[in-house]
Amino acid sequence: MAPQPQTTVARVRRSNAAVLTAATALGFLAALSVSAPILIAADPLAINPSHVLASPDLVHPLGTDELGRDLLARVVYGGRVSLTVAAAAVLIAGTLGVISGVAIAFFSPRLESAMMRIIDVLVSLPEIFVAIVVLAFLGGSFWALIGTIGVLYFPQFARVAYGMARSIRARDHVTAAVSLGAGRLWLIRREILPNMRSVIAVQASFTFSFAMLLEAGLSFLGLGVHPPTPSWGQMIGTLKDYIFINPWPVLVPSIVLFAVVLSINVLGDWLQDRLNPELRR
Amino acid sequence: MSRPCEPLLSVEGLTIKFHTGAGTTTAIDDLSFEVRRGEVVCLVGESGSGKSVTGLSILRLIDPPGDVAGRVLFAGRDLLTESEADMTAVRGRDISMIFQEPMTALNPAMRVGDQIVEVLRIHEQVTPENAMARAIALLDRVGIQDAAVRARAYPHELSGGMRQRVMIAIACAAKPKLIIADEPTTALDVTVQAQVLDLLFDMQAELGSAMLFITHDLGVVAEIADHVVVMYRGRIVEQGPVEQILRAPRHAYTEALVASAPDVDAPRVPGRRFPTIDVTESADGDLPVIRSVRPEPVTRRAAEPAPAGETVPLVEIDKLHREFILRYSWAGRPTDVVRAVRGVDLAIWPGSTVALVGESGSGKSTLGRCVAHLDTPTAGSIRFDGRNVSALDGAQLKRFRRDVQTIFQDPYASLNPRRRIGQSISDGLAIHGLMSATERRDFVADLLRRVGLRPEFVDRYPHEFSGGQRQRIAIARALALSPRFVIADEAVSALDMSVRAQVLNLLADLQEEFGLTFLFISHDLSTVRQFSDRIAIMRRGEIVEEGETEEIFEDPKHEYTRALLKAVPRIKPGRNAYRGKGRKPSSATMNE
Repeated sequence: MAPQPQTTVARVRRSNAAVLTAATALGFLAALSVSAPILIAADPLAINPSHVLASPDLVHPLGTDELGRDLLARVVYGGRVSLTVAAAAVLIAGTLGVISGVAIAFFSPRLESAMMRIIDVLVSLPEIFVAIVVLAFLGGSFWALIGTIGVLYFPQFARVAYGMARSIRARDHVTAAVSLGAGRLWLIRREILPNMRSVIAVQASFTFSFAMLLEAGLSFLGLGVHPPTPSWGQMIGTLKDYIFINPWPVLVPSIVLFAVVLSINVLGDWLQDRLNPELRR
Repeated sequence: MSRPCEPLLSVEGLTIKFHTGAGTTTAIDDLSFEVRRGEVVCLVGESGSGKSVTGLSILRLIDPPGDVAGRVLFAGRDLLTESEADMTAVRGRDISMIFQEPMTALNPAMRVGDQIVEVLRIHEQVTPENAMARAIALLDRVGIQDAAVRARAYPHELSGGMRQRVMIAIACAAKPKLIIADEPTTALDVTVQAQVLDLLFDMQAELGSAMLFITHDLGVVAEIADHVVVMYRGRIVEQGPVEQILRAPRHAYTEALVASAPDVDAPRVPGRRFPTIDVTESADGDLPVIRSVRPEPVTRRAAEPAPAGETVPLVEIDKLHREFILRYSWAGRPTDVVRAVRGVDLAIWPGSTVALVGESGSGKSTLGRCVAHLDTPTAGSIRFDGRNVSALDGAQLKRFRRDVQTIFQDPYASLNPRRRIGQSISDGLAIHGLMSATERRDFVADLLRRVGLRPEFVDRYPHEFSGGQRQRIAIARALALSPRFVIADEAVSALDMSVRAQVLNLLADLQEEFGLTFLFISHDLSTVRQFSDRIAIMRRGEIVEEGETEEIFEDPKHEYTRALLKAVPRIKPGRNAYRGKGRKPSSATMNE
C-alpha cells in the first residue's frame, strides 16, 4: 500500500503538456535544420548592405543581421551546426565514458582507485578554460569543436557509469547470473548496461545542453566554426555589439538557444521516468 | 464477553481511496472497530491488506492522492475534521506511533537523547536540562545501559533492538493514551523480539495506555492481544476476542490463516506438506472465496537417506573461516576485522535438506555464499562432490555453476528488472549453450507450469508479478540448469504465510522429483522444523549445535538453542506470556 509509485505516475502525467511542447519544438527545429536547403529560400551568406539590422518584415521573417543577411536562414543553418556539434560531442563523451567507467569497475581491481582519482581530476578541470587553450592550439573548426567538447565531458560519464556499475554489480540479480556461470562480458551486456540506461540517458540529455552552451560560448569568443558559417553562439557574439542600434537581431539566436536547452532538459526529466519499466504502462 | 469501559478510539466506516491517473484504488473499505482504554487490539492481515494504511490514517498521515472518508473518534473528537494545528498536538502527546524499521524512523543525523528531548519540548513547557534528564531516565527505563552515555549516540551506533527501545522511549515520552505499533518487532531477531515485546507491554501497563498493534504474526497476536481485527484486502473479515479468533474462527480466511501459521511445537512428520490458503476470485468484484487447504497426505518418501558408509557427502565444509577487513592502519595492517565465519565444519548428504539457523549477523549467509563460490573463504576448504571448490577453474567451474544454484531472500532484487522473465529463466541455458532458442522457449514454458505459473507469462517483466510469484520465477531460474544442490538463503522469509507454504511445498515436491539437496538458510525455527532433515545452529560465526531436526527440538544441548526455541512466539492459546503482567487480564483469559 505504498502511495509513492502512484504519485510518480500522477506527476509524469501532469507534466505531459510540457513534454509535448518541448518535443514539438525540438522536432520542428530538427526537421527545419534537416530540410533547410529545400524550405529556406534565402541564402544565409548573401549580404545586403542596404538592409542591415532590420526588424522582421515580409521578405525577412526574422529580420537581418549586421551585414543584411537573412536571420531566419542563419538561425536555421546555425542550428544545423550547433545541434550536430552537441550531438556528436555527447556521442563521443558517452561512448568513451561508459566504456571506461565500466571497464575500470570490472577489469582493474588493483588500479581502480588510482584510475578514478585521474577521472576526478579531469572532472574538476574548468571546461571553458581548457577548451579555450586546446582550441587556441588546434584552431577553431567544426571537428576540433566536436572532439574537444566530447573529450571534456567524457569523465562525467565515466564517473556515473563507474558508480552505477559498482552498485548494480552488488545486486542479487547479478549474483544470480554469476552463479548461473555468466562471464564478465555477459554480465556487462545483459545485467549492468540495461540497468544503467536511464541514468546514462539523463546524463546524456543534460550533457547535450551543456555542450550546446559550451559550443555557443566558444563560438561567442571566436573559437568555434569560422565565419561566415553561422552558429548560434557566434551570432550572439557578433550581434551583441549592435544591441543599442536594434535589440531584435541578437534576441533571435538567444531565444532559440534558450528554448532548445530548456526543451532538452524537460525531455531529459521525462526520459528518466519513461525508461524505468516499473513506471511504463 | 464484556470489554473494559467506553471506547478510547472508535473508527467508523473508514474508507480510503487513492485517486491516480490510472483510476481509483480502494485501499480501505468501510472499516469499523474500537479500541478501549488500557486494551491491546491487534490488526492482523497479510501484506497489502491495508493494516498499515489504517494505522497511518488514524494520525491523519495519509498524503494526497489518498482520500480518507468516515469517522475516527478519539476521546469524543473526530480526528478527521480537526484542524492541522490540533492534530499536531494530538500526535505524539495523545497518540504516538512506533514503526517497523527503527533505522528509518529515527533521525540519523540527531543524537537519540535529543530526539526524545524534542518530543518532550514540543508537548510540554520544560527546560532543556530537565528534558534531557527525563530523556536519560526514559532511556534507562527502556533498558538501555549507560543511558547518559548512550543518549549522545547516533542511531547507527546502536543495534536494531536498542534502536527499537529508543523508538519506544520516544513513543512513551509524552505518556500517550494510545500507542499505535506497526510491526514493531518484525525486523528484529526472535530473542530480541521477545525482550522488546516485554518492554513494550511493561511500558503500556505503566502508562495505562491502550495499544493498536499491527502485525502479520499470529504467534505474537496470541501472546499480546485482547481483541483481534482480521483484515483482508482492505476489509474486516472478522473481529473478536483473541481466544475466539484463534480457537473458533468464524470466517474461512481467519481459519485458513490460523491453520497455515507454523507451529514450532508440532513434531516433524517427514513428507508432510504445509497447509495453504486457496483463493478463488469471484467474478462480481466482491471478496474472493477463501478456504484453507489442509495438509495433504504424505507424498514424499518417509525416510531420508541415512549417512551410511556407502554414500559420501555431497558437500563437505572443513574448518571454514571468512574474515572481512574493514579498516587498515597507515602501515597497511588490518586493524578492524570482522570474523564472519569461524571454523565451521559441516557435511551435507545427497538428497537431504540441511537447515542453517541463526540470527542476523551470525554468518549464515556468508557461509552460504562461500559454499556457492560467490565469496572466497579466508581459510579452510569446501569440497563439492569430492572436488575442492576454490581450486575449480575452466570447465570444472562451469560444471559447478550448473550443479549449484542459489535462491535469494528478496525476490524484488534477485530478478533483473530490465529482462523479461522468460529471458531470465533461460539465461543459464544460454550461458552454457544448451538447447536451441525454440527448445529453450518450450522448456521455460514447461518450467513455469511446473512452479505453478502460466506459460504465457514468459514475456512479462518482473514488476508485473507479486512477491510470491517472483520467488517462483527465481526458483524456476535456479532449476533450469537441473542443479544437484540448491542453497536457499532466507528464500521464503519475505513472503506472506500463505504464499510461504505454497513455495515450501513446491520446493519439497521438486526435491522429491529431482532428488535435490538443499542448504536451507533461515532464522525461522517453525518452518525449519517441518522442512529440514538436519539442523545446524549458528551463532557468531560458529556452529554451536548440529543434529537431526527432532533431536534438536526435543533435546537441545546448547544453551543458545534453548534460548532460541524459548523465544519463538507460540500460537497455542494458554501460553500468553504478557497476560496479567501488571495489567488487568481481560475477561476472555479469565474464562479459560
